[in-house]
Amino acid sequence: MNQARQLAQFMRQWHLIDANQQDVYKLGTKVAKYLSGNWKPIWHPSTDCGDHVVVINCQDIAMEGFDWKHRQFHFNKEYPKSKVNIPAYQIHMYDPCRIVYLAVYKCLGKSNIRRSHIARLHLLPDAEVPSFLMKNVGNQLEQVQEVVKRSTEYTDEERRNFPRLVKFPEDHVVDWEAPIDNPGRHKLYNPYERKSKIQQTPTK
Amino acid sequence: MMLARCLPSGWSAIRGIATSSSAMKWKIKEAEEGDTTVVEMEKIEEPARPKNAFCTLCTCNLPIKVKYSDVLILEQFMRPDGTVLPRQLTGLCRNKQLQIERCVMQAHWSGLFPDKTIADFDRSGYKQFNRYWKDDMSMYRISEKIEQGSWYYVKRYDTKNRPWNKLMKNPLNWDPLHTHLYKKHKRKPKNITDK
Ligand SMILES: [Zn+2]
Repeated sequence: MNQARQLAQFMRQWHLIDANQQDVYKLGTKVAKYLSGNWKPIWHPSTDCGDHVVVINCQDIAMEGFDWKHRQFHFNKEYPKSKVNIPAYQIHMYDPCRIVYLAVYKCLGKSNIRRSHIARLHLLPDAEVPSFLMKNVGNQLEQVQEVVKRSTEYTDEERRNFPRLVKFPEDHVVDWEAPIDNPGRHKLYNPYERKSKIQQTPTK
Repeated sequence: MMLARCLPSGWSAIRGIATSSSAMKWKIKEAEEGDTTVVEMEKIEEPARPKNAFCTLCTCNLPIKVKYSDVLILEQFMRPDGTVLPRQLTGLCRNKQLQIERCVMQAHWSGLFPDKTIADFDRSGYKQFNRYWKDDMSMYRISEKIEQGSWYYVKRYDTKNRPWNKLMKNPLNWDPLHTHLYKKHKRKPKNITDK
């Protein structure tokens, strides 16, 4: 088994990774490592030992916090008025694979061989993998982040077995837990507001 | 007349509940008998918090810090409409209450409570995509990151970037205004690459 694994390192291996709810740049560093063959002990910049990586569910990748809006890609054609910063979410809306491509391209480092490495990257927007790709795949890579479950994905049994943290006081009435109407935004008292209204009214 | 008769009885009822030592929860029960409405308090069997209890989150020795992804913990502190119960009811200390409120807000932003949101929760633009949070103060550490864009791109396979696909996939994005988008293109697109 070990020998087979050792021999497989001299071939082009095919890895599959699920990008669902994974951070783009954490995923990109992992994918870049496999694309360049950097994980192999035989690796050397002059050795062409990179693998193929198939990334599925590209449209479900995640970013931290408000990064979809705040991470901007700078495009400059070096013509007048051609500099533009495009936020990541606009690129992702246009093409769900482009952000992953840009992230992997960045994580491959600034070298001339990265274009030959990224040529072995296969990006698929959802979980449908065409059969001519699937027949090559021999390994599934571990995800870089946990996949968060929604509240609707938990079963009733899991919910029942979960310890109860909230203990209400003795005189608690269940109806107090009912949703209340939206009280609206709190407005600070402005003593000058009235005054200005009076001033606005014509006195003549 | 009515007020004078109601007040003392009401006060005694409240005092009665406050001094009761039995561990119970109560529920308001309304019943109509003819033209009069009878309001009663009904007991529900559930162990209550003792009077001298401290904040539950500090005393229960949780091995982890509560995060936005701990959905089963957060929904215990929530109302069915997705808002957080006040501190008088949850019995948390001030810091933990604020932490829970921040986590619930993050969970809403990540779309983890699709059954406990308001109908007009904003999910347009960048808010429609998956996002995660490093910790509960993550949303206050904001900075703009400028990346070097590149036109070098090899589009090998059909990326299927059709708006109606995205709308169908995430039920939070379903909107009657957009139905024309996925009604028009009912036919399944042919997979050209798969021969
Ligand atoms: Zn506490």
